[in-house]
Amino acid sequence: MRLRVALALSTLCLVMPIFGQVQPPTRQYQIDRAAFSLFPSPNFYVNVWFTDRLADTSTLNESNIRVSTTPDHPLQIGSVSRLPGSRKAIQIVLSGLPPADVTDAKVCFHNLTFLDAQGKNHDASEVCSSVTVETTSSIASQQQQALDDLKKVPKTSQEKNIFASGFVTTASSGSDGGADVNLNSNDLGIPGLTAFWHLNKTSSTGGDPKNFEAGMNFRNIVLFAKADLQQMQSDIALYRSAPDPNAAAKALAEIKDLESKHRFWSAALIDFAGKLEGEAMNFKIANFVGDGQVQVQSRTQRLFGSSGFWRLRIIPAGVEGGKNVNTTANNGGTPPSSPDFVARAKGGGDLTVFYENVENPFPLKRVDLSLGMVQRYLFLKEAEMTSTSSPALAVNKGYRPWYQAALKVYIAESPKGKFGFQLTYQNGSLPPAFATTKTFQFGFLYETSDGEDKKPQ
Amino acid sequence: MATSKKGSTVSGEASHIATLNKLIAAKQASITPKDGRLQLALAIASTTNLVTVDTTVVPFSTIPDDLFDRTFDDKSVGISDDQMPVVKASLSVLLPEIAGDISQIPDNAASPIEKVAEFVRLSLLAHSNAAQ
Repeated sequence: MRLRVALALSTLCLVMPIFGQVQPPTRQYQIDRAAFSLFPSPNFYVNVWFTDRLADTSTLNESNIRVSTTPDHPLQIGSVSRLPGSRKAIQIVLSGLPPADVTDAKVCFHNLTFLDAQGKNHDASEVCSSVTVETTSSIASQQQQALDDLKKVPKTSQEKNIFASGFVTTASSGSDGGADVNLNSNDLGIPGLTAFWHLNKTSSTGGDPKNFEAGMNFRNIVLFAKADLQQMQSDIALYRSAPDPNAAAKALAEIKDLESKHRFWSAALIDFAGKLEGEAMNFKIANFVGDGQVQVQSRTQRLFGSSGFWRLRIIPAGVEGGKNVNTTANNGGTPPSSPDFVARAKGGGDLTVFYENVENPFPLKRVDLSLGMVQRYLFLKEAEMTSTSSPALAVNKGYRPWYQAALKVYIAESPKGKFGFQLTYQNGSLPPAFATTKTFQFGFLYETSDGEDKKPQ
Repeated sequence: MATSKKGSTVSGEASHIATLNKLIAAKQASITPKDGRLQLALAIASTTNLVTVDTTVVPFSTIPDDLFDRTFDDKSVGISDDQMPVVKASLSVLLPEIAGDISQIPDNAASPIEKVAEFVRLSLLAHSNAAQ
């Protein structure tokens, strides 16, 4: 019955966004925003960001552009070009000294040609916009505003990673729902410090890892290409102060050589965490644990030409140590030899593979595969629960592996979004309950064309 | 003789100033604004092999050519939330003067790269302002 209800809700939620979605009106073929940097050369310029891609650079000439100020100052345009790495933004570099009394400014383009998503040209005339004036007195608040804007960007579905309802767990003894929640915050004001809250819990027997963790993590990054980056930094400085064009070209060529190395590994992530582990959600088993681990992160690597990518992260070594604060069986009793301290070694890794090809004639438009494992060894006795309906609590030490796999496959695509399914497999046990878990989950997926994952409720 | 000498001196000074003005104008044209854009592109390229930066052309070019119009987790960029601290650490090496500001950038791969570039640009302006 529960399975039927979940599937019915899933179907409803697949259909609802298609008919119920109301798109906000979008601005097209206009100036999105513009900024006037009133600082001495080379920082005397106007940056303009458009709502759409520009078709070409033929209209980017002085005679097509007018920059006016209040009070009025004659401004001489030195050069106009696209901002590197953007097809929507340009930079108008001004020559001379910046006027000190500008309160307002406006930029106008007499004619522009934009490209729409289908590559079709759209001409626009007299495209004008007011310009944000950046001065020595305003720059600090404008910098803070830019940071606030960044903090408002919604998290990715991966980061949200909440499918508290709407997935069906099929284990040996039946089907049910559950929750897998990962929340992280780096808004603690200390660089590298994050707060985390993880929950992995289902109500099905045999499919419930009973895992809850909350705490703080401090991360330090060791870059494998640090020497190359430092050399690039000095080459950029050399380029900007080069006495002649040959010296400048040499510096730029060296940056290119360093950038072209394409190493496999990018960095080691060294984490130190303090956390509370609890048996979700009753805390009948709970530990305070300190956690230290090293992770080695690969650079994102290309997969099948330009159709996808993959990346790898391994945990060659990690330790967990702490104190047990509660071990109580479901019947209220305590095991004969109650655990005291916690001492564990761990290793593992995860692999992410992404493939997308909307032109693929087969029902395989996009594939997201994530594989992960953690191998723990317990040096001291800790709780261990069976997967029966009345779980028996024992106290043991030894090997405790955990494997998980998540596969998202999008099989069809419409202008509104993509449709597919998700499979999740988990096997092993997680602290602190180390409840034997073997679970297989299935759910439908719908992703809107703006990239936002919608999981059936 | 004196008049001639004086005249040639004035003429020499005028040509000297004109040459200097030309050199200054050429130098101004060759120096692009210090906005951290190249450094951000290089930091991204040092985290993902899907992105490349060609600095042998001025201004530099990127693959994809609209890198800054995308987000970090775009399929052509391929950076996850877990890799954002690596991007930030690389950027801090390239722009050590604003390392404190860079550390405040959220570890959110859904962020548009242009928004991060804008924050970096404003941080550099604020830093140059504070240094003066």
